[in-house]
Amino acid sequence: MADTKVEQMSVNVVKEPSLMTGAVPTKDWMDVPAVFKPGNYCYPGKPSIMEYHNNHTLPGLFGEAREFAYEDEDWKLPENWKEIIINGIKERLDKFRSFKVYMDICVRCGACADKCHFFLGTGDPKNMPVLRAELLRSIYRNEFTKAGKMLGRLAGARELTIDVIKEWFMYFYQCTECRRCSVFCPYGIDTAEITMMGRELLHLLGINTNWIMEPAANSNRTGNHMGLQPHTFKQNAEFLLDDIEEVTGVRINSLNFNRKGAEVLFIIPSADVFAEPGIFTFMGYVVLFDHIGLDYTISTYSSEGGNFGLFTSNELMKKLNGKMYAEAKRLGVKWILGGECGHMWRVIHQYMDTMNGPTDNLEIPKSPLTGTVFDNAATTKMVHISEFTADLVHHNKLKIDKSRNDHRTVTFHDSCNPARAMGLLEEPRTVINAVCNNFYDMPENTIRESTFCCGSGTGLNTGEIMDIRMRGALPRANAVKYVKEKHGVNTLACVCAIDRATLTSMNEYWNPEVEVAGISELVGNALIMDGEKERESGLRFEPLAGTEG
Amino acid sequence: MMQLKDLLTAKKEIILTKWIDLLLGTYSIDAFHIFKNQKNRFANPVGFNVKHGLEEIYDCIAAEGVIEEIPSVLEELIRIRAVQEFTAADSISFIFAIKGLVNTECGKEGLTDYHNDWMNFEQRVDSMALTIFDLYMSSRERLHSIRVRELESGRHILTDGLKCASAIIKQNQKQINT
Repeated sequence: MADTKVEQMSVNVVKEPSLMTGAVPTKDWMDVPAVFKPGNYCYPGKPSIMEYHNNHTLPGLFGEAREFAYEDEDWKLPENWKEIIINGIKERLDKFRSFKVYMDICVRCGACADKCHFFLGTGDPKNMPVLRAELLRSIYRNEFTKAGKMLGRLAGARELTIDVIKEWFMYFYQCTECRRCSVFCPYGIDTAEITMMGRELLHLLGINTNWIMEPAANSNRTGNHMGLQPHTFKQNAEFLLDDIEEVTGVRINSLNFNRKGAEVLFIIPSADVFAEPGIFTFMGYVVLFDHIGLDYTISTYSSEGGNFGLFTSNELMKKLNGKMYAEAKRLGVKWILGGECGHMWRVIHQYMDTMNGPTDNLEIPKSPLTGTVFDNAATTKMVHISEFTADLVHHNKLKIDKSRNDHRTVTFHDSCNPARAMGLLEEPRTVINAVCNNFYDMPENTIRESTFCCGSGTGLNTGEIMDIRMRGALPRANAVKYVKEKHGVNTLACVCAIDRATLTSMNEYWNPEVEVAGISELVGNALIMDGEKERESGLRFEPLAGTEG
Repeated sequence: MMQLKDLLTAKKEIILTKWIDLLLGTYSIDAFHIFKNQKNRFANPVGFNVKHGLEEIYDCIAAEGVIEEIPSVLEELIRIRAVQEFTAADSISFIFAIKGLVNTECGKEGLTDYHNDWMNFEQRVDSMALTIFDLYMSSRERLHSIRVRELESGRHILTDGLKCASAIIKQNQKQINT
């Protein structure tokens, strides 16, 4: 015990409540400012991107394009920033009844407090959904309620300052709008919509993230996040046919683009044509459609299922979404089939019909193979690939060799939006069980309606906040680890493109032995194709069980 | 008088409880209560891994013989601490806190008579600290390699690459101009 430092530390342990010198707030939350440092925030939109939005997408929504950094003291806000925010809140209170209700009805019961993956991963109280909403409610009370105006802080109100704006940016971009907290709210407050309002207000001051604004600009200009032009999009997709041929021995000729008069328009998240492991999911779609002889086409104009408008503003969401119906009309299809995308389904199921519907040219979706009418999509005219495939399974329309997925022991991550925003819970499991012999669900309070987010949704899937993403992903990874250890799970299946990318990174950190796969990839592996050769590998060229080495 | 190793076993519960509280005390007060009291391991990954991670470390330190295998829960605990908002020192300093706790709880009964026991205990804590340091560094390195991989497989491959026809045209024009 000669080391004085060690002795000193021991004394500290006895006398002090904690050894740590970290930023554990001991003050009231209103008195703790957000501190920006490398790794805890996303970079702002590039001026060129923001100029594009201001000139070409939707003028007036995104504030002034400018060069600034979130670590700077001065964010170069307009002089009348306060007025802009107050007017912005007023406009939204008048426009959205839900926003007004959510501002008023929370009784702070705390049911949501420990439900957020970001809170569970960080322990930061401002990541409790109730407190995240209070960031905005406190301003609402101060400006729009009598109690707040009279009693101020006693009534949970506070003045709008620059620090409040900075705090909003910090915490409305640590919410993935996954809506797990909403499941537990006795009043049904949709905290995601509060985050959406918070982000809309920030946009009025030109506060944004490039990772969202650039893909949104690309989607507006060329139709997809990466800005792939039609020939590139087509070329990438066709390139995957070579891989399918190498694996199966079958050359698929049914893939086609922009074909008028097709029965079905198929819309995918664009990442499925260029990014691993999404490309394997795409190969699965193509194999399935060829297998059943579906009369479909893919558009290079409406070439993105994802809609970063959802993470930005309702106006941009509406504009980007409008392409789907416009293209369906132009091509003269009967209905739309959607791929394994996440937030696309929240937009479709909860907003599309209100924003851009009803359509006058589409029919209620009906499977040409089984005759099943998808009444659940009667207004949107858009069916999820898992619904469609589960129906095929149910009617025994597929020739399947399940053993081709025996090299995989699978669990399923209910992607937040398909699960909670459209109730897609059974269909994916039906499909997985039809094409895999080894499937194990994760524990009950981590799946279905209670599913934990990947931690990188709503445009948070960027490298500069990798630490935050890994914290947010902890509850999900923790459940994956459990089934990995208990059942030997080596594959995490999902139905979301952001999941396919981000769960891969998540697993590389928390569960390196577990791969991520779209369900359609597993379907593609199992389908027995006409004229196929003896399969030795799956769609990602991985050896099948019994063929290794 | 009991030997230190016996004391460590006898007083395990009280020392461990204090140690867990100390570590959970590095989070906010709201988080402290939730992380401490929520028993469901899936609803409370931090609390679960702190409790079980510290218990595993404690058992390793209190045991005799060489520490051969790194407990898996310890690895998970350090992975968690490595991505949370702590400095590197604050992430792992909890390991040194065990010295003070043990000193307080066992000191009177074992401090003077069993010098070798104490030396051995100190050495085991220090050796565990080095293991934790390695785990912390490997976590950070893993995190950065994931970021690099994401960049490498990211958008620039397509937008700047030769697969895109417009990029080829641009590149050709550049070559002609130069």
